[in-house]
Amino acid sequence: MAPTGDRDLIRRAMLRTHGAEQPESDAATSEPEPASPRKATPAASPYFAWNPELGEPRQPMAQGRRYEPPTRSITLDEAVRGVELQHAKWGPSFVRCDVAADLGRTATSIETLVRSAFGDPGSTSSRATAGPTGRPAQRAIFLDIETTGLGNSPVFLVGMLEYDQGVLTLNQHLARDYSEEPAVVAWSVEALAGADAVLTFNGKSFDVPYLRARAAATGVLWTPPAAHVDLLHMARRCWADALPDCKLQTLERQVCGRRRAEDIPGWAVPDAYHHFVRTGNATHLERILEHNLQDLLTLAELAARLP
Amino acid sequence: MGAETWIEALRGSPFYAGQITHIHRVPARAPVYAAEEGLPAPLCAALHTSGEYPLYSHQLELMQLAQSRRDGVLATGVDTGKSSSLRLAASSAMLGRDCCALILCPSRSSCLDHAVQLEALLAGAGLGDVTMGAMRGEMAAATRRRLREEGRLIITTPDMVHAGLMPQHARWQRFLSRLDLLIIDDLHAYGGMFGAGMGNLVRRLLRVAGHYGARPTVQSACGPVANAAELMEALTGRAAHVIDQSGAPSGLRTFVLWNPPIIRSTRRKARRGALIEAADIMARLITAGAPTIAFSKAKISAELIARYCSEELGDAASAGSRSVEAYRAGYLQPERRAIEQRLLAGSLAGVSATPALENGIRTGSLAASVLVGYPGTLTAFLQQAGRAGRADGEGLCVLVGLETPANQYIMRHPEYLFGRPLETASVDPHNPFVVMGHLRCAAHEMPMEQGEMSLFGPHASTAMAVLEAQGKVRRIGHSWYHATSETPQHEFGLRSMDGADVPIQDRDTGQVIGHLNEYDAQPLIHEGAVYMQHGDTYLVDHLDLGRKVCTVHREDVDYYTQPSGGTDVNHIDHVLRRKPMGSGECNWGEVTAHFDTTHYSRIPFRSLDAASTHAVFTPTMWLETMAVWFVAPEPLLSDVRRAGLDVMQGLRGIGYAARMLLPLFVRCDTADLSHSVGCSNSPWQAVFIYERLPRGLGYSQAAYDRIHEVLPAVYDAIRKCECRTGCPLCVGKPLRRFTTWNVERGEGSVPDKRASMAILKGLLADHVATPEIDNERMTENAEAVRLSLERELKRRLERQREPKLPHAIEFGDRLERPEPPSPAALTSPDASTRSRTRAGFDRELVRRLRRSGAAEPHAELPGQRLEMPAERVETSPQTPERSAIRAGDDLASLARLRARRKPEPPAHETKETTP
Repeated sequence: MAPTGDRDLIRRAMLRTHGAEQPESDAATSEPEPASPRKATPAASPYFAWNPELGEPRQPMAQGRRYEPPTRSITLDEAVRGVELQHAKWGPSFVRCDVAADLGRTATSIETLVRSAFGDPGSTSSRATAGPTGRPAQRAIFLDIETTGLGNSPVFLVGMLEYDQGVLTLNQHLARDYSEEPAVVAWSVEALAGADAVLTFNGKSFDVPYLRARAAATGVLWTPPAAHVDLLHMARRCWADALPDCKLQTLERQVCGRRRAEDIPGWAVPDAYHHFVRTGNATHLERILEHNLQDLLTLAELAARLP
Repeated sequence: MGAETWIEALRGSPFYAGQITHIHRVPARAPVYAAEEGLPAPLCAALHTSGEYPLYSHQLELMQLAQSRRDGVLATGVDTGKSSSLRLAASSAMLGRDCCALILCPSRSSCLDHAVQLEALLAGAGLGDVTMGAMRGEMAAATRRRLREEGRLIITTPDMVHAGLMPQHARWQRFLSRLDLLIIDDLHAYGGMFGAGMGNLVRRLLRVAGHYGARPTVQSACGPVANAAELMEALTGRAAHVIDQSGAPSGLRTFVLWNPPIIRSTRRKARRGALIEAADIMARLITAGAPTIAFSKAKISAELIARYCSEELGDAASAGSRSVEAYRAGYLQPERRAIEQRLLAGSLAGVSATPALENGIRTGSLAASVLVGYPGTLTAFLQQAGRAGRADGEGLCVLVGLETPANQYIMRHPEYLFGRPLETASVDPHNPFVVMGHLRCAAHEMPMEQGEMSLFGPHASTAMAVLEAQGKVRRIGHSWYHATSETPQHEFGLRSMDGADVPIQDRDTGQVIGHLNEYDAQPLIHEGAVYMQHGDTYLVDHLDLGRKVCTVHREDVDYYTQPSGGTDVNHIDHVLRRKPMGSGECNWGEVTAHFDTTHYSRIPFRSLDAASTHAVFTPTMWLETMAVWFVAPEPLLSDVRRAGLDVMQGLRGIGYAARMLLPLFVRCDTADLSHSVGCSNSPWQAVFIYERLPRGLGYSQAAYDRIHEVLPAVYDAIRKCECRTGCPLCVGKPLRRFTTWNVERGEGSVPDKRASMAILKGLLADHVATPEIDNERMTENAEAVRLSLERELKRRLERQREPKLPHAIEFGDRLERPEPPSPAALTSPDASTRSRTRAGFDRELVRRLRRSGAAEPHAELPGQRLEMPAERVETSPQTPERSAIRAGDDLASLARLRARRKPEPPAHETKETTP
């Protein structure tokens, strides 16, 4: 079966126009990333070739896998531009809200890429091809969560990159301490329920069931998202032969050609968050937010680049 | 056929020599059936097909309690169909509403048993579509998911709930929100530390279920204990209705106390071996037409009885066709099922089991039980005896006495068994040390509200404050939140010993034939050991504890192996409580012990004597545990010493006797305890009795609380023993070499009874001044007690960070212990080796004395009297015979040599005595 249907699947989920024909746009031709040292060349292997230069991940905090608290100390307000939200039922929480234009060059170029891949739902041409329901394209949300541990530990950060009307908007709901988790869960469940499609990486087995379990544990009423697309399985179909693994960071390096400069490793995230709650030092929390943002951007780019 | 016939058969047997010391009869009881109307029709049909109809009155009573949503506990005694009542209650709950039920059993085998029988019951009642099953740790992920997403009736162990369900409770939302019935089988099995953990777990479970909107009823069945209602309340936090009127019938029950005859004039092993005796009894009973179950304590003894008995019966030697089988933990599930089915079908005439299975086994129609040794508690005794005897027939129970103080005491005093009320089950769910761990779990599961703290007892707020100070939880507003990335449920278990299983693989066929817990593995299946299964012998080729695998091969040998090792308290970690006792003091606290397996003996079947002894090299294990220790005052010991008695031997004798008699006071087994004298940071005369389980099970604490009763009883037992200077029945066996062997302390012989008595008499202040005094309780105010508790809890938390279970360590220098022996040295006669070492010790002593200068060589030393005259040491010239002590010299030649012994020149001394 030709994997070229993947992006179509995503688009259908986004537009809810099952069976509607959409013009196929080639990801390689609309490649907006000039800094990429090696482009995805479908000719080399079926879809892609492994680039050894982009090989090993850099893990600055991986020595002995022991979390080391930061030496510098800054407060949350200094570190992150955000506002406090007040949920009517669940109380306060914190959100960082930015449009792609404020998030730097990578974000804007990804926005362009996504727009060219899925068309601009806000434009008149897209409205014209919106399909039999006649509904215009709605919102799609890229989702990635960060948790305070394994098992059923609370979730403290729900990152949502929203694609609406051709614009990418970032919403990162953050629990500043453990008591704000219900509000974070409530806000994100509401947002996800309002979206037409949720796109995740491994979200079928992790992010969405986890959020659902946390909703159950905190008592928030769970509303399942209208459509859920897990990009991991699509990515596996495309790139599993060419890559050693299909981790998001591998794909980010090899497919998108980006590397992260100062990333916090995934295993250190819970300890870093507990450290933040204990001390109020947001140095590493800033990195966690950045890590989450990078994951979301890669997610969006992958969705656009899937053949 | 009745018990009388069987007893006559035993009396008429060739091996009978007056072993029966007492016969006790319990009269028969008529059944009380339940009225039919209360029973739902589908269940009625199911019971008709399974032949369980009509129900007894108490069974219906429990079901009706469940239907009217009231908590109940069934305490109707052994063999009254308690488990089947619980299954009926569960099925009747399934009939009406769309609800879920959870059944908790203490062991995996009884979970499976419940699952099999429930499946049949539900199918018979037309409820075949109810998704149910036993949840185990090793089950396939798909099955587990099916249970989680659709299951209505789940049977599992508390350990699975603690580590599997609770950390993931949100994924179990469907099940928990409909949980209507919580069933706890074998309530009496939750004793000590396990019970304390269970009590907290049930509170956590009910709390989480409450969050999802469920308020389940709790139903349970309790074995024979005196305080079922109290136990239920301790374990669940709820007051329950007790059903204690049994409607089940029972035939005449006859109990026989059987003391093996004295066949040798030696001081130990004088009586005929209890295992052989039990096998003979079993064979005789089977021949007389009574299907029999034998209970013995160890896995190996269960195998030996099965083997001896089937030899006695002249069975075919192939497995699977014998009429007697062993049945113990470690067998594979299909094998167990096969044995149970053969028992039910009646094609198996006898089974030899370990007490681990006293609750789980489905016995069908056994007529007699043979118990090797008193199991330690009346509850367990009745439970094991109750496995045999049909409702409409007579039942016989033969208790074979072992050669231990407690058993011999019971043989002499049958009123201890039959004239005594049942034990009260002691569970303290509010034990602060247990509560602290569970508070962490509770905070992890859901934020702990201020109002919920009362669930966990009076120490909860202190424990929470300690957790908060250590950064484990964080208080925000009125709630405590879990504040680390650890999963606390995985940091500790409910039981102390829950190690991984080591599969035992047959080298020739590649099949896994059984498995053992990794902590049992080292002493039982080391290289060279004989592993027994179905009475067959397998030789162990290799044990790899790192990879957790053991290879064996089938080989017929005519011996089994007995491991020997030593264990000692290494150091005291923390004194938790201290009180004066008589003229000395008594302590309770944390200690670290070490134990190792140093050698094993090959013992031919049907003999009690080792044919040969072999060394085995295994790593030393550390064990963090709890101990009670008492310290006799120094002046008393000097007096005893001046009287010419050996103080060290006396202390060792007290330790042994106290440890062996403790099961009469505390619910424990002698095998759970060890004793030793002195350690690196205690007074040298401290006598330790410590638990052989990681972190302890509360036995030592109970012993501490009752020490004022225990020690007088020990004194009595030693005084009334028939021996003159000490024997294995009172003060102990001559310890084998390398079992806590220490020449300096005069070990390696039967301890001196007179020394033990002298010390005890002085310690107990002539047997009058032993009131129960706990100075911490008396002198310190509430605040001081709270502060000291806080300190202890902190220590506990720190200790939990350290390795939790026995673990191998690299020993540096062995300070007090001899080098591991070479295999050749072990096979040489004991006396000569001892004499050699003794000679070395004497030399060393002389050297030390001379080096210290002032002391005269014949000056009195702790526990040692110098045998050579002082002037000869000082003046005699050196002679060449001095170094003539060799291996093979006997004691007489040693004495000759000693008489001629001369002091050594200083240059030689250093060379010869440096280890």
